[in-house]
Amino acid sequence: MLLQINNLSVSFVKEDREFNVVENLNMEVNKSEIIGLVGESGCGKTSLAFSIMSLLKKGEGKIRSGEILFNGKNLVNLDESALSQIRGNKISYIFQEPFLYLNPVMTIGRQLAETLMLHKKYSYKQALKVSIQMLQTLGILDAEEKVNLYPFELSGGQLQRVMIAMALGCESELIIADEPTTALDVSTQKQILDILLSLKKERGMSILFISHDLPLVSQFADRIAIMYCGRIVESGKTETVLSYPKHPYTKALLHSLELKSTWEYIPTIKGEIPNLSNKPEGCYFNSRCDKASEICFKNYPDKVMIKDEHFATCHHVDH
Amino acid sequence: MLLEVKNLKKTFFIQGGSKSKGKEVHALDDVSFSIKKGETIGVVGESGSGKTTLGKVIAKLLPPESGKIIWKEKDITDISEKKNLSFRKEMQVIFQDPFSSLNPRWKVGSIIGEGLKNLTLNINKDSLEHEVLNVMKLVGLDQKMINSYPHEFSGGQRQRIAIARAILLKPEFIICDEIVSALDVSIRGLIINLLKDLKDKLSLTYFFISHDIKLTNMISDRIFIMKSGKIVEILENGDIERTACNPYTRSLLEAVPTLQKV
Repeated sequence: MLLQINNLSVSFVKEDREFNVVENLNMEVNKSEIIGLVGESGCGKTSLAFSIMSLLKKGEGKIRSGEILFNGKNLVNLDESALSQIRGNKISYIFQEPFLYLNPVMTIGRQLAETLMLHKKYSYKQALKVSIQMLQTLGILDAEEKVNLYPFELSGGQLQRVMIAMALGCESELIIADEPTTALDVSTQKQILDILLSLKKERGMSILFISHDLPLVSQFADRIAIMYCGRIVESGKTETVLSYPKHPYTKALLHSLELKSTWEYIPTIKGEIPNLSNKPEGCYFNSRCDKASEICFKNYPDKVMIKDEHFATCHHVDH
Repeated sequence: MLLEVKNLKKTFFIQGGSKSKGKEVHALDDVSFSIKKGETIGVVGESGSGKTTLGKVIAKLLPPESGKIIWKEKDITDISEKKNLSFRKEMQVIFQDPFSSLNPRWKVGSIIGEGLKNLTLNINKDSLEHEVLNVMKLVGLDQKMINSYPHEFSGGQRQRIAIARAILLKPEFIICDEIVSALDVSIRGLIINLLKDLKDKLSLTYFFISHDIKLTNMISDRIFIMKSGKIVEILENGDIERTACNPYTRSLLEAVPTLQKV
């Protein structure tokens, strides 16, 4: 087991009120496995990723309970120096908008080399050489020239490759990819996905792929977890979850993806996603669910196992 | 014909960086087509294909370098904005990002009503508010929120505000530039359904710019596929996976992820 998250709860404080953005969350990522974490905006998926990387802003978000085990070591409350051995080294993060996270006044090569010099103790010359090799592996032509350019001179797809090159150079074991292709065109998206898939196959890397795009995730994730209001409501092998969805939210999401070839109404989910600071009693999906009964407004449902590794948290799972 | 464009051209000059020289980009390269009233036209292409430039040039937000724009049999290419107030009412644009297209310091009522206020002489306050409330109801916004600010709304609701602002002027033609790309799937459905309702009620003509070829196929009568400033293929609505011939269109279709089930 590479990453194991047990009963994790993360809370935010806003206007003197504390509320959970991640709640009793359990998750496992095995070696060379791709997990797709799917949810709509505001469901807490990025907060989860930030918790794993200990990137939550102090005074704004904090881990209330639970543990995050990476190779058996608990990352929660780890001190800064121990953390920096892991963060950016063993675990890498790829962001949705690479442009925001790369230094605009530093060349690509310097930024890549800096990471390697810090984590691998290479000299600058050595680090630059490795960086160029990594960029070449990722299909960037004339990488020797590209390393002298600044972020604004590269396209979105190329910048995303730079971010992946950082992870590659450090030989990370886990990549957390947070909507890495959302800002890219479909054909560039396909290239980036092919790269991620080859990292898994050839280097045994594990990837936690966070996205709102169910069809996209279904292309390559081994297992999938559906997140709603800070909780995982359904998880299991990708094909199983998508072919035999059990949670009403998963079912509704899948319905809303069915597009006809003539203009007909798209099935929608009634109501709106509750605000994380103001979640309803009982099941968080209750007011939007057709199956909701009395118990759904009283208690949050327990996790129900359906069949090998396929779980749903719903009072009305039909087997 | 409601709208005809002939041989539209637009070139941008991109400044060079530290190591590269500047270059010319042909955002529109000899684009011609015509659109009938009531049609829904989809425009699909990757970023940089010129689809947004095309929308802006048609809406006269950008001047073309050469070519003609003919609106209701009248050449409006060089006509001045002041002489052409009726055109501004008849054609409206809705933009991609509902977070940057709404003025954060204005109340929703003023944002929605601004166009009508500016383009109608002597409209009094009460009738303006009446119109705004009507249109808010039509697009499914809570009328009580007329005095709220944009930040109090979710992304989907903000897009409704932008739609309300556009249809308040009773336009005939609406350019929708990637209006659902920033939205979650469950919200995307609501907005696309709203567009359908409005089309049925107000007999609108849509110019739907998107990178999502499947969604665009569902709602469009014809799809223009754009690449490097040119329309490379025009597809009729239907089984486009069978009918698409152009290799670029085919590569777009193949890159779209489809749900993998057992």
